Amino acid sequence: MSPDVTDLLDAYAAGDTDPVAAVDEALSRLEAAHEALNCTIRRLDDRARAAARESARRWAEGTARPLEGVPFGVKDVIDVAGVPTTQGSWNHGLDGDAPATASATVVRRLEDAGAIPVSKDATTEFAVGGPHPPRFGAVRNPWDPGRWAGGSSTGSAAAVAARAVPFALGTDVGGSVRLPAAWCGLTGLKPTAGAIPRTGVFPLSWTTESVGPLARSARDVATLFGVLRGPDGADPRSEPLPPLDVPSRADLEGLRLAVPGGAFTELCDGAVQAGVDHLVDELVAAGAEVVPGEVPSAGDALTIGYQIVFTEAATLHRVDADRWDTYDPVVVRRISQGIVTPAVDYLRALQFRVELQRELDAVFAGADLLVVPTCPSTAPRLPDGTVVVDGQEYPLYAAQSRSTMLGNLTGAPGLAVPTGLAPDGCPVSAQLVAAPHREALALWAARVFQERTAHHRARPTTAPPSAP
Amino acid sequence: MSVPDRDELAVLAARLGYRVDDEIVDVMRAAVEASEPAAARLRSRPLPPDGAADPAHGDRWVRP
Repeated sequence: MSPDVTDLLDAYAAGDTDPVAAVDEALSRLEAAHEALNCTIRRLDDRARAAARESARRWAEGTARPLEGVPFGVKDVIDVAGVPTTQGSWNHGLDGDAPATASATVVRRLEDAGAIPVSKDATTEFAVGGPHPPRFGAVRNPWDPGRWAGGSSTGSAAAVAARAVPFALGTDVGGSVRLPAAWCGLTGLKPTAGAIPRTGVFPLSWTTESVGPLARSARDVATLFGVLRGPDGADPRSEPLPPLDVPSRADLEGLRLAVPGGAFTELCDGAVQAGVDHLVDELVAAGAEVVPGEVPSAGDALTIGYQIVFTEAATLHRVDADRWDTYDPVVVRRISQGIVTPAVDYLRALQFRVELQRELDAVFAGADLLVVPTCPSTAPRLPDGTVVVDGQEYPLYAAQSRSTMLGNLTGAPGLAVPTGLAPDGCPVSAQLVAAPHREALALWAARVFQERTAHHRARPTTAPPSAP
Repeated sequence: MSVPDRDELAVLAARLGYRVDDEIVDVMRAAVEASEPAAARLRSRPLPPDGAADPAHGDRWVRP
């Protein structure tokens, strides 16, 4: 038994444990997980234990808040007041490892709901570097320490998968929540663009970036998303939202699924595709129907998306252009493309987002969700970060974001859902893509799938047996 | 289809204030070349006739 957020709150309510014990256990498990996987940049022991005592008092007094006493990890590009935000780098800001003066909106909202940050989690450098950030090194995958946990929300995924914390926060520019979620067997949400404010998050690409939770079940993601979403008056892209109303029914009658091929499946391992098929079969068995739907321009989404991301990243990092020689070389190799992207191409790329939105509108006119692979393969191998698709090796960046960048370009939400294990023993994942502000449909379908199957409960061998 | 050669890219990067070595210039050139087919397709394609010219439409998904 390894309780997720919902189970842990139930255990508190039943008096089976309390936040002081759970936070102590999380900190202890984080230490063990870090030793095995290198997933943590900083544990927040004193801060977390003080908050746990307050949470225990609230449970005892009957004033518990919605996430009272639930420990969580924070990707280290997201500010936690009083704690440095390293961005996974030696090179951040002018004041080195000075503590953040305020928490990011997302951290503040979780803390206001009673959740307790217990760690700053490893990130690839600036959320764009390679698997081996020079300052902190690679994060190993709990399912196979010879593999990478994925990125860029690399330590967050590893810590949740290792059962050190029930959930963590990540950021997603081309799949950086969904990909490590997929490779670590987790449920991870990239919400609709603007649904979750990014105030207090070190930016990589203002156009494409979202904050999202990585957790162990769709029901947890739904709870967390309900706390995290909504404008904060500071992020200009966060806007008033419609209510989040996830159906509670156990059937999916009336839900229409488009299962596009083309660019989504032309590079896709057989085990990943089998997982997509399995998800679709289960959803259909629960009452959903499959309808036609293709996205004709999806094949250009990755290339054009990278043009936008790297141009914006090169712009953001221009201030440090005289010390790029101290960056992770992968960061420089990737974002340097953006230096020489002509302005007319960058702006045309921004206009391309609207064309993709129109293509998705055409699909969503007859469908509620798209079901696609989250990524083409199981987790990348260390040290080189290559992936294997049907026995053939591919470079990481040629493969990883083929199905995820669409959501970053259009703003469409995407939910990565574990669909089983490949013959290599590592998780595979499918992505449920919804129309803007229709996260509820993806969360509904995923919850029903997880009620009918147990893939999301599978635990890696490195996870301790009685973890929270 | 031609893209700027490596010397042109190196001069442009330097003019814009970026200090990149020869290896990175080669990487930039390869990336520009790899993205050129998709970029060229976009350049030659007319915009959708529903206000897509303003990138703000991409920031917020407005249904026509």
